[in-house]
Amino acid sequence: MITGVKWCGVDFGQCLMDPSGLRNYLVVGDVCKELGEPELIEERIHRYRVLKEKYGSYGAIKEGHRDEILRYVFDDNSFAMKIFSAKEQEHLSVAEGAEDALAYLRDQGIQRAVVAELKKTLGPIGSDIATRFLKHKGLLQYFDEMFTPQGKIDLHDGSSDMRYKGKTKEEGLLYDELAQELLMRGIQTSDAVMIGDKPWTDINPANERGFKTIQFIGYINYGSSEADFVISHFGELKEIIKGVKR
Amino acid sequence: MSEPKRLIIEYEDGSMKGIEFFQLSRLNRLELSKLGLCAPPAAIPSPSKYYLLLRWKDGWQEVFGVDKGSVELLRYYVIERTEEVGRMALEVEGDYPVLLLIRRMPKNLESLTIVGGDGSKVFGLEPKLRNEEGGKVEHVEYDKAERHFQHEPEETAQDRVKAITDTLQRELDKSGLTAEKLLAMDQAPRVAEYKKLARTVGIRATEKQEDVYGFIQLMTENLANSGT
Repeated sequence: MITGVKWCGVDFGQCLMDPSGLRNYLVVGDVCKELGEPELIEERIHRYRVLKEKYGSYGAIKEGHRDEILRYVFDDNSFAMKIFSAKEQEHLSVAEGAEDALAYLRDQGIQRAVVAELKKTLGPIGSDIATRFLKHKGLLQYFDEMFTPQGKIDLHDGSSDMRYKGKTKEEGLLYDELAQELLMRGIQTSDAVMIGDKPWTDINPANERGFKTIQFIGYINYGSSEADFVISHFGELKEIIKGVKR
Repeated sequence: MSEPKRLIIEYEDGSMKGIEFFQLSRLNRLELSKLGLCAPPAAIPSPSKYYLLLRWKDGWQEVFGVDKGSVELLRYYVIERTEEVGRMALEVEGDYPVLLLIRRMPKNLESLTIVGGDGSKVFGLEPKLRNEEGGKVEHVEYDKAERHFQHEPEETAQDRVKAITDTLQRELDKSGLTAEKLLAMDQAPRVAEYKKLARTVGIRATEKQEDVYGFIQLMTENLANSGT
C-alpha cells in the first residue's frame, strides 16, 4: 500500500486508453466504405501495415506520422483522414475500471495528470490524440493537467507551459522537470505515483527519480521493471493507493 | 501484336489519363489480354533484382520476387490471436451456395434482410448454438437445417423495406425529384444522386460500391412502381 499520495500521473497509450477494439479492418475498412471505395479496403490495410513496419508500431504512426497516413494510405484524401480520426475515437475504449479508479483517486484528494510521450505539437484541447480521447470519453473532468514532451497543458483552461518542450519520459528529463514543479507545490516525489505500461518510459526513469511506480500489464506486458507494484486491472488501485483525505 | 507502350483511358469530356504499360501488374496485363487488347504477359518475364527463397521445416519451398534496389530483412513475426469471422452461406437457385465472409464485428451483426425477388425476409441473428471442435468455436446464429431457427414475420421485412423507401421518398421530395425523374437521369448524375441517397439512408457496400448503387436503384424502381 502506498499511503499519503498527493499526485498521480497516468500514461495514455495502452494504459488509460485501451486500443484493443481498434482493428485495421474496422477502422480502415469503415473509412473505405464511408468513402464509397470498399474495393480498396485490402490495399489500404496493406499500406497501413507497411507504415507500421516502417515506424515499428501503430501508436508511433498515429502520434507522429499522421501526415503519412493521409498521403500513403489514403492518397491525400483529407476527407478520408477526417473519417479515420472519428472512427479511431469510436473504437478506442477506456481501460476497464479506469474511470472508477480515477473517481476514487479524486475522492482521495489526489491530484491527477496524464503523462504522455506525445510526439505531435500540442494545439487546443481536443486537437491531439490524447485530449481528443479524454474529451470524447468524458474523462477530462478527472484530470487537471497533461505533461508531454511537447509541453504541459492545463486541462481546465487549455493554457500551455513550454518548460517541458523537448523533455521526454524515456530520457527522464520530463520527470526531472515534473519533480521540480511538484516540489514547488509542496509535493515530494515519494508522495507521487506514476502508472504506466512501459518500463523504459513510465516506470524505470520515474522510479530512479523517487516516484512511486505502478506497472499496468492489463493490455501489454512488457516484462519486469523496477515498479513498486504491478496491476492488470485499474480496480486494483483502490487496494494500493491511499490519499491524504481521512 | 507489337509491344504495347501505354494504357490510355479517355473520359466522356475528352480528357485522358494514361499509364506506362510496364507499370501494370502481371494480373492486369493478363486481364487486358483476355479482352484481346494485348498479348498475354510473357511466360518468363525478365527476372526481378532479388528473390526471397522461403523454406519450411517440411522441405516446402517458395520464391517471391522483389524488384527493388536493395533488400534486407527488417523483421519477421507471427501474429497469433483469436480472429472472429462470420460465414454467411446463402442457398441460391441452381448453383453452389454463395459464401460471404463477415469481417466487420461479426458477433454484432443483428439481422439479415433479403431484399428482392418476390418479397423480403428478415432473419434475426444472435448466438443460439455453440459448437466446439478442437480449438475452434462456432457460435451458430442461424441454420436452416435446424427446425428451431425461424425467420421473422413477413411484416417485419415489409416494415424494414418501407422505412428505407420512405426515407428515399422524403429525400427525393426535398430535392424536388421523383423516382421516375431520377431513373431517367443520365448515368453520371444518377450515380451522384444514388451516392447522396445512400449516405442519407446509411447504406454502405460490403465489398463493391456498385452494390450500393444497385440497391438504391432497386428501391427507386419500387417507389416508381408503387406510384407514390
